[in-house]
Amino acid sequence: MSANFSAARLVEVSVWACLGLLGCTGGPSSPATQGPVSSGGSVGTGGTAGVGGAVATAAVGPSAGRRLTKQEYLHTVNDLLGVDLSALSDAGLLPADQPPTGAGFRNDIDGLLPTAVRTDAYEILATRASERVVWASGLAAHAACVDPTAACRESFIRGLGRLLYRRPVSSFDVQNLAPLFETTAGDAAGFEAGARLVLQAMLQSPHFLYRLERLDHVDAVSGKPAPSPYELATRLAYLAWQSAPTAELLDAAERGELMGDAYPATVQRLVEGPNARRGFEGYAQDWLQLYRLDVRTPNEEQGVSPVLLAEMKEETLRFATRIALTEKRDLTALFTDKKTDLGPALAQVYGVQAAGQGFASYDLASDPNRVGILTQPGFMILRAAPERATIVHRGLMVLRIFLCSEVPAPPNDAATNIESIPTNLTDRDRFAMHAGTPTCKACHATFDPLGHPFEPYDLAGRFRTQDQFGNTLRSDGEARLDDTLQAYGSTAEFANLLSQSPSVKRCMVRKVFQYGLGRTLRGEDEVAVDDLAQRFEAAGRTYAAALTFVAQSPAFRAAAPNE
Amino acid sequence: MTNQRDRIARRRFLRGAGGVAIGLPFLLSREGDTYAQAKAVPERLITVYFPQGMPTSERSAGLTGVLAPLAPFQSKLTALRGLNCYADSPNNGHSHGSSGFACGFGTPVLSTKGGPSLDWVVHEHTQTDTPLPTLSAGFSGGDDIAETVRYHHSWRGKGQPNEVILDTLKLFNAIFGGQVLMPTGPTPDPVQVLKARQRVSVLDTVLADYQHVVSDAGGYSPSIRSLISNHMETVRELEKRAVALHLVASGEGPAIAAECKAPTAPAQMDSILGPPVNNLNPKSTPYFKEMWSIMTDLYVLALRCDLVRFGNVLCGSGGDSYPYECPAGKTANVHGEGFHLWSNTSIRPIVIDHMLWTMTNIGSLLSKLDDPTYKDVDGGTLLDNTTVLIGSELGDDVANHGMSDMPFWIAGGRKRFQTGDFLIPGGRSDVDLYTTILRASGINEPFGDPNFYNDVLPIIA
Repeated sequence: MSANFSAARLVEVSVWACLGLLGCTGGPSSPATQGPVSSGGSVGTGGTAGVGGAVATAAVGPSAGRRLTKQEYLHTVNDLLGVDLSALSDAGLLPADQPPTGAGFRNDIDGLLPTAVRTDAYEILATRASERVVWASGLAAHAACVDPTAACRESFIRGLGRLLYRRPVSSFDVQNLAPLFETTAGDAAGFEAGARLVLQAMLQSPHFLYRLERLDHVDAVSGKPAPSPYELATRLAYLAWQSAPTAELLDAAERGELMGDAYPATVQRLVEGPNARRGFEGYAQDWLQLYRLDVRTPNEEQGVSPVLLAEMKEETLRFATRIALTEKRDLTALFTDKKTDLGPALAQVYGVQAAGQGFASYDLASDPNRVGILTQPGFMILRAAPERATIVHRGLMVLRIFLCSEVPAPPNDAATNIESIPTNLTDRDRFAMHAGTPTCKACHATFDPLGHPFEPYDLAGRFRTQDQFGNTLRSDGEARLDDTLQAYGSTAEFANLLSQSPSVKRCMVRKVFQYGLGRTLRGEDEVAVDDLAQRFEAAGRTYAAALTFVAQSPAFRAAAPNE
Repeated sequence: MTNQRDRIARRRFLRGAGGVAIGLPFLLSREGDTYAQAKAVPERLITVYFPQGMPTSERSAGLTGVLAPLAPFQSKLTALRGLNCYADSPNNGHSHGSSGFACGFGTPVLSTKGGPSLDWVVHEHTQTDTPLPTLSAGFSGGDDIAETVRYHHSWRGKGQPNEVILDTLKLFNAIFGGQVLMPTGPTPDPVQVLKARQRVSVLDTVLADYQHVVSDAGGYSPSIRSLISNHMETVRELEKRAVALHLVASGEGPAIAAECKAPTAPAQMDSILGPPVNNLNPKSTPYFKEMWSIMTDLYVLALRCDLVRFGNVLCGSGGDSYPYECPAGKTANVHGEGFHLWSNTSIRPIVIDHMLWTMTNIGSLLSKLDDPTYKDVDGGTLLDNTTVLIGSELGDDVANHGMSDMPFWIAGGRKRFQTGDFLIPGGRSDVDLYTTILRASGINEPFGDPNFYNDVLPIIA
């Protein structure tokens, strides 16, 4: 006997149903009033030029000691050795990285913790890489000679180590690694066998797996602590490419081209380089939280199949990459562009004729209910429960991703199930009743209105005009943006409001900054964000501009915190 | 409480026993001081976590109803009611309680617990030197991969998770060393011996590298040195296992006990990523159950062979959202459309059935630990000689993330605890329970957040 859910289901509003009054004070903060969130603290984004008490202090550099993320690790091995470890049988050994906060990036040092499971995986992958790398094209280039002499061995270690350690190899490194050649002395493969063991050790070294930065480098001009040219090259390469610096970039560092007047040109080369696309796609997966679609529970009854989920991710990634990289447009076009690529499963959701088995481009100019990223199913489903999407989840995604704001955790006694509220109302009406109760009002008033434009879209992202109870679904409403209550008549109009919001524009470059620093932003960082936002605005708000200005910012070039 | 599917899964897993035998290098971990020779019962502590809590009403009538799967172990079981969890975290109630489980601290971030977990404290205090210091394994059906505290329940300290393994093959590799370098014939294979020796050499080199970074000569900040030091611990553990494997490969070590020779690797099953196996899809209870059977087989084998004595077994994670179907009905989301609707009388039977399903899993683990055909060094079962703490992140009010009257049981426990049902009055904290377990184990260190600690509980035998 099966329970009749549609009739008997009570209102369940998941974790955000009832939040305390203390943490939420109204609509999303404007750039000038965004404050750091803390448990039980105020709503806003990390740091503030005003309320948060930021003052013009010295820039704090990126976190140092970050472990390579899973993607960075795979890209680096592939780029430097020509060994592709991305197959599930290889990459699956490495656990997925996890951001430390709901709006965080997976390259945040707080989430990059060492574990025994990873250490075991690194050893296995190092062994596989050393076995698969082609000697002639992958390792021989680093061997000036292959005689069993100390000189040949040192030459090889210095050549390969410079790439893998992203800096010149030290005497300690040579002394530590060279004896590995002895363990293969009786091996028929001789030098090559020893070289492969050296590679195994290097791939498990902290100098490869972590982005270590020393304390003892000082800026030649100021005399103050600063990253070395090689460390700066590493910061740049992982920012722009999600991979290690090339030999050419290390050469540039050695020549001093990452210092002084030559720096902007070097940054420009990276931003426009061949790996920039992969770098953006990696960034976008975190910024837009698309990696969540890889592990989302399907719901076949509502048409959310694994195939559809994969197409959802592909659509949004293609869309964002086209706007940001291919067409180099103002990033606010993400909200207003009417073209997209769809696979056959997604075409059904959109109600258009599938063009074939693969992805194809579609112009949605004639569809008033599809515009930009907000109405893409891959965005709308991101944090939805397996059985349904609510205005709460969708509003929270707008808040976190595009407004750089956050709400505090609900109190321990937050009610998640309010039985007095009828089930046959629209999401909007049910949550309006929640928001009417004192303990729920403040926070729901913050994010519910940001979710109202999404009400007509079901879990799979299909547009409908009525829900299962026959209620007419609306997409109009009012949202507080930039400290002003603004009305919109449709999802498209709401998207347009976001595209014009100074808070949203500031948030776009703030996210790149957060990603570049690899840590949660602090109050004092907001001064830098203000400066970045002005430059980003003046430069037409492109991704390349955001990346360039972040790379050129004093914070990105500052010494890492000595903690 | 072994059902048909359990038996099938176990048979399939064990079928590989006739294949290439590879053995556990455990006997060599203590330079010949083998477990069999030691004769003393070692200290063991395993935490077993299940998600979503359990209403008081289901725990007030003894080991019946959803608790029936625990009934066979009644004489070895201490049930605790009335304890609260006061831990806090930056997210909702599942994360609050998850951060506190077996740790006793809240956390300001979701990527790390506030301190070492119970199993690790005992591991450190006893200076246990098994090849795997801890082992955490199980399944999770969560979508929210951002919250580490919901998955990992064994911690060496802040920022040091003993990462839970959610994959059958990874668990197998963790136990058997990942790289098979075992002898396949009566005489050592010189190629394998060489490879095993080279592996040790590589790891020694790597270890020296880590030691240099954490030394004063490295030139790095305290935070980097601390981070790399944490990583170095795991390299050292790996190197120790590699040394043992080298001795086995070269025939220099003692023979491997027959009961510790393992079958060929099981089929890969990952509770979140898949792949589908035998027409079962990940994130479904049939898939979890199949995994659970294989993983608990492996886990118990690791305990029997003294590869490990501490860790966590994960029977789902807080807020898991996956479909559930049973004779009482079905739901697309056992979390949001199940537990959170506990007060709905048409849905409650489904939730109760899921609780029974969970307790059946835990009962099957206890059954394997209590298998009388395996005799520990004193003739008792593994369960007799292991402290098994079973608990959750939520308490009575499963619909509203309530953390009052948390469900806890101690199973086994070396007769250190009174058995039976204990209702603890006064809103005492779970930290009191954790501390009580330490005291009963002869460990007088403080544990968890001192603000939550009152006194030991009156359950020590």
